[in-house]
Amino acid sequence: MKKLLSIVLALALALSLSVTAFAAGDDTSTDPDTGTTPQDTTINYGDDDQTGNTTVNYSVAPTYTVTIPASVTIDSASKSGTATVSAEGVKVAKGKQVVVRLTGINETTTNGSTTSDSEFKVKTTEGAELKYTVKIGTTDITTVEASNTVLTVASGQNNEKDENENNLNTGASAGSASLTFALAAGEVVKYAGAYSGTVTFTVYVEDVPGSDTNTNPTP
Amino acid sequence: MRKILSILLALSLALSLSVPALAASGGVTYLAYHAATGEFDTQTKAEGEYTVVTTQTIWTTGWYVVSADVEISTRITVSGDVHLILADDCTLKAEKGITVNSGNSLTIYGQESGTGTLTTGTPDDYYAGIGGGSNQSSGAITINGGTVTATGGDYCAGIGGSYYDAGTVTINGGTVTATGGYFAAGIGGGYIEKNNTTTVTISGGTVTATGGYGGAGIGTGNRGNQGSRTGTISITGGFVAATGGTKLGKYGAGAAIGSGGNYSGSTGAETDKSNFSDAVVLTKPGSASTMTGAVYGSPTLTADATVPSGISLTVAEGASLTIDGGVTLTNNGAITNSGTVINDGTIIGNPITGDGTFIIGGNIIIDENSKNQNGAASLAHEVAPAYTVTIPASVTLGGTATVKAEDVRVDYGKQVVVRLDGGSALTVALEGDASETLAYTVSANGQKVGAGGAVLAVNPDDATETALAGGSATLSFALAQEAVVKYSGSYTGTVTFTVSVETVSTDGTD
Repeated sequence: MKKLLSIVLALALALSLSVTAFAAGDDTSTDPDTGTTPQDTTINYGDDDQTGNTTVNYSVAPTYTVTIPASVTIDSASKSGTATVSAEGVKVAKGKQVVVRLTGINETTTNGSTTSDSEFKVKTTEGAELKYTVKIGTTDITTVEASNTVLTVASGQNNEKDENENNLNTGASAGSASLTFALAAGEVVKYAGAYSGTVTFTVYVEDVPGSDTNTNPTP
Repeated sequence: MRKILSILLALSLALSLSVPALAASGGVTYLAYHAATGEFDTQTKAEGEYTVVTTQTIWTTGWYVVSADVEISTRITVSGDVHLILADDCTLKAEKGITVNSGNSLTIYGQESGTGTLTTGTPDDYYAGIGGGSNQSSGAITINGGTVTATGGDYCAGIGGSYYDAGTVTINGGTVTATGGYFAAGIGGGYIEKNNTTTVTISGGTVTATGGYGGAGIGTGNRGNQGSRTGTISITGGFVAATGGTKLGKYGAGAAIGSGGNYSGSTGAETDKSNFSDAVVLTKPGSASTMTGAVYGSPTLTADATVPSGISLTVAEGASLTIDGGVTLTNNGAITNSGTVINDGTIIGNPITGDGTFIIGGNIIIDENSKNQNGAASLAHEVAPAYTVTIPASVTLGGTATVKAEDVRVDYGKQVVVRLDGGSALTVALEGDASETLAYTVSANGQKVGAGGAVLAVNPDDATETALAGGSATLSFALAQEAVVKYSGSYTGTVTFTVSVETVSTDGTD
């Protein structure tokens, strides 16, 4: 009886050890593309082939930090205001880039449904409105278009700099864009009041045009 | 000579100790809390309106000031409604605590820096640190500022009720640390609430409360839930950390915020936290091994705060945590942001994780983990109202004068209106004999205008591409038909015009 018990215990121990070994292999070595698990190579004395290959893996997660101003003040005297949108720490896949677009004007969400203006406007609670334009680079825009790209930062530039403009050599890419919000030409400020509005920016990771990778924008 | 020097030094020391409490006038300043607005302001008690705390152990109705380091070894009793100001950098050590029984009240104030301190030792059994005496419920204890640390005697709250009874505690500001004695709450009730119900209201401050064995951190003592007495607890602001007392034998563990445990061994019930708002609340029930935290509503940290090591704090979706300018939040634990974190101050320690929105230094930060890849910049454009109205300096009866308004820019739906003042008599008086008067009329565009009537209204909507709105009215001044001129001479009078911004109505004038 004692002998039988010891055999059962030994079997149980052996099984538990083998389960652990398989589990570790599954977690670390499965090829995500083929779904196959590389097998260890056993080389014995006398084998013709005395070489074995080891696959070395290294995964770099995509990173980026985009900074968007929470508020922009249109100066009463100059009737304009500026804002800077920047991206730093950009490390996305080769052939990809981080793109920031201006995608919405005065968006409001009610019961899950989002509405938006088509033209750039600021408004008072009393009902007065003022149209304005947004200058991106040298282009004045007055409405939201799919092409309203504010900033594009491709990976691989290794151009992040410190405050003294020394290259940090982080491998990451960085960039910024200045936007000018100005009262639209010909707009007359008839009414006093506190005008306000919003512009919404959206961040995408997209293929660099002309690259071979598949188009897969996010979000 | 040495004796004189030592006296001078002693005087100098005494003066330097009293300086923090004194306003320029010789009075003492304190931060007053206004419940209606939730704001503080600095007020002053004049010299003669307060008593400086020295060795008094009976405090009667009135104002007391701790303006030096003072230690009182016997228990202090509040009789009536007492207001206590803790001057910055001064400490009162109340070795045996302070009795505030039902029917009396103690309100504690701090100064600008909040470094004035009130600390109790451990009172005798059956006495709260600050609150009820033996077998008594507490009177109203309100803490608006300063640094208050209180420890209850056995069976009694740190701040609140004593053995057998409840506490009534309000905290609006300051740094408060309270530890209950055996079976009592840190802040709230003592062991067994026999007569009254505990009420704890927190609207601000940094509060740390720890229950004694079986007592709630904030709430009732062990067996306080007999008859379902869980206390009335409201938290609408502040940074609150509450730890329930652990189980001891047959005495069940206390809730973090709620009721104490029970004699039968059951654990105290946590209070309904759904009505908490604008606060950071960390809780560890007496039966739990770890402390967790949540942000309720949209609190703003106005004083330095720390999330201790091993503690997780969650900013849930829909919640928002703001770190005010000049304030430091130290994260030694784990803060997860699924809502919004606005950092206008400083965050040190472990980085905040999560996919919520971060607004740092006035900027929205979007990274690869952000759940929302959109950021909305708000635009603000303030346009000040403006107009110029010209009133003629003089006019001769029988003639005309022009009133005009230029560059009119007022709020949408409003207009600038010029009226004859309602008090205008529309008469001229004979020079040398003011009793001899002659009535006259004023007409605008052929229509007579009486006192208070409008002579001109300009709507900003009439602006053109090249000019803001403007307008004018030609006024005719004529002797009234009923006027009888008896005497020759020079007659003069004054007519007053008033300018106002009024809502545009259907008739376009008023």
